[in-house]
Amino acid sequence: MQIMVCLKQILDPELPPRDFRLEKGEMAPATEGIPLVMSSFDQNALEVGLQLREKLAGATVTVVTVGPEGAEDVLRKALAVKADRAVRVPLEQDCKLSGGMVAGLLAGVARQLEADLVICGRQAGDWDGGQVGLILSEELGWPGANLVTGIEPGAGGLVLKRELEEGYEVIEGNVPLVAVVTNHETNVLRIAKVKDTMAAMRKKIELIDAAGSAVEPQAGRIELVGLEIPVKEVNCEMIPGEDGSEKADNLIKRLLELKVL
Amino acid sequence: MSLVLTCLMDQGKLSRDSLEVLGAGKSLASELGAGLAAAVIGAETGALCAAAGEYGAGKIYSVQDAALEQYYCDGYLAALESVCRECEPVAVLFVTNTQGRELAPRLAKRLGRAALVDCLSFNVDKETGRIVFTKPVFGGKAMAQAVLSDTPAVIALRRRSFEPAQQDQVEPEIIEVKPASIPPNPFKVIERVEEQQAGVRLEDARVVVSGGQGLGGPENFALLEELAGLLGGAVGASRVAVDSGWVSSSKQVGQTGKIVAPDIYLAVGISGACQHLAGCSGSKVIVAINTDPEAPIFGAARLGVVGDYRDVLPPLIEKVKEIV
Repeated sequence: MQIMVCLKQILDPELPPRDFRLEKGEMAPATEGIPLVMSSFDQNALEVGLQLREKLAGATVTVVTVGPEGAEDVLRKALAVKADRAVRVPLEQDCKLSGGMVAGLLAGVARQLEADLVICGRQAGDWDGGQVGLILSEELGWPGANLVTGIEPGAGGLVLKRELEEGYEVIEGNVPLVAVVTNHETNVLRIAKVKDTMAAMRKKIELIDAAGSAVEPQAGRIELVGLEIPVKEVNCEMIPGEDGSEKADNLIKRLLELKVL
Repeated sequence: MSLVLTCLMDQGKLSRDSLEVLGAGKSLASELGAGLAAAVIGAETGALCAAAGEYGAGKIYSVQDAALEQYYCDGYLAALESVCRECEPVAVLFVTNTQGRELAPRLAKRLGRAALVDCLSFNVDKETGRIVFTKPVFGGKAMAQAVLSDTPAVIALRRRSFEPAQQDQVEPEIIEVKPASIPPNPFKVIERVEEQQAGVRLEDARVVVSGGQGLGGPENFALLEELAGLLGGAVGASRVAVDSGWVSSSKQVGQTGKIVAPDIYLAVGISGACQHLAGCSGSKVIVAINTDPEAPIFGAARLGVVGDYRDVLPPLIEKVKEIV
């Protein structure tokens, strides 16, 4: 089974808000000096793919990213945890909120790789679009399962566990399909061994050129017209007290005064 | 007359989510000078049609089919696509819940349009008549304003960001829509486990006591449970606590978890990542208990306690016992 996992490189979401700035005169964040990382739900997606491969003889995991050369770092990170193949679709522009453009490129790659299963993270931690995997299932005309936490081989295909509003369900489906992954205690990405990280530096990254740029759709474009950092006007009132008991007392007093208790 | 279509993904009676989408739909329709319509889907939609009429939906597009008794994405998508082709709305509104999250982008794609998920607000540009939607990006560190170039704009609205609709009885026109075909569910449901919640639902709780990394382990959530229980509240958690397996993921509060807006949100040992704050910023009073006075949570909290929760919570629980 050919498993394709889609990965995105993003600005480190752990960056504290006070260090988050916008590029002057542009609707984009300032990136200089800020670490770039693999988007966190994509890490979960990769782990789901790797765990499935371990249970399926002959399965391979190909990781794919759309982005500039620097985005190959996330592919190397995936190779370090033993993804079999890595593919980059060169693209300099940031598609921002237009996940449909990225989904179009990824659909082309899925066809070219003859993927049976495409796994994506539910939402990238930069533009928070939350659409690529879902649109991808439409592009490919494959069944799509959202909010998946794990995939296992089953008697009649693949068995997927997915989150519900309250609880979960276990569903069975046949490939080809698209699984969109959310975080769960069972899919936290494994840590690479040092020697595998070293080896990953030397591995080949294939390029699949999807005409050099993402195609703006004819209709249904998303036009970004503004980007701003919200002003927070919260002043935290620190509760005084010598010890826990005194602080608890004073906290209760303030909550009663604020009429919320 | 152009229409704003609200998608009411309920069975039988209107949920809070649907009331919010109706409330938002009504205000968008009035800004655009459009009518308010609703899509209802199910095996038997009569009760829901009546309920939608009570809340001001003048046109109700009903898709009734035995196959649609329970929600599944592909079936409901086919139904909604037929409704949109029938009524050609200017905007289609969902709530960003598990259904809206998957339906909005896929429906938009089928209509050759684009969607935005997790929108907080909208306003209509007086000059151009275009609708500008605001949505948080970068985990809430920035707000993006976006316009969708063609109609319908397909939008999923963040929960608890719009006032629920008030009763406003109209005599609705009910239009039965028959999709050419309703595809079967491509997935076979083997097991469905609905978590039984003890006490109040997290989203409805007046008090939420949430724990994060600072709790250090699952056993320490017992203190939070006790306090929440005394206050008639519910326990929530940060993503770290969920990923560590300390609590079930249905307790995760944040951008991709539950959105809560209680009177008191007590954050215990939570550093306060933007993604977490996105799930609780609508709370009346956020109280933070954290050992680190530099933790970002204090930048969002109204009241702060610098200290170890193990020193603060037990006396707090005792005092609460005295007053409740």
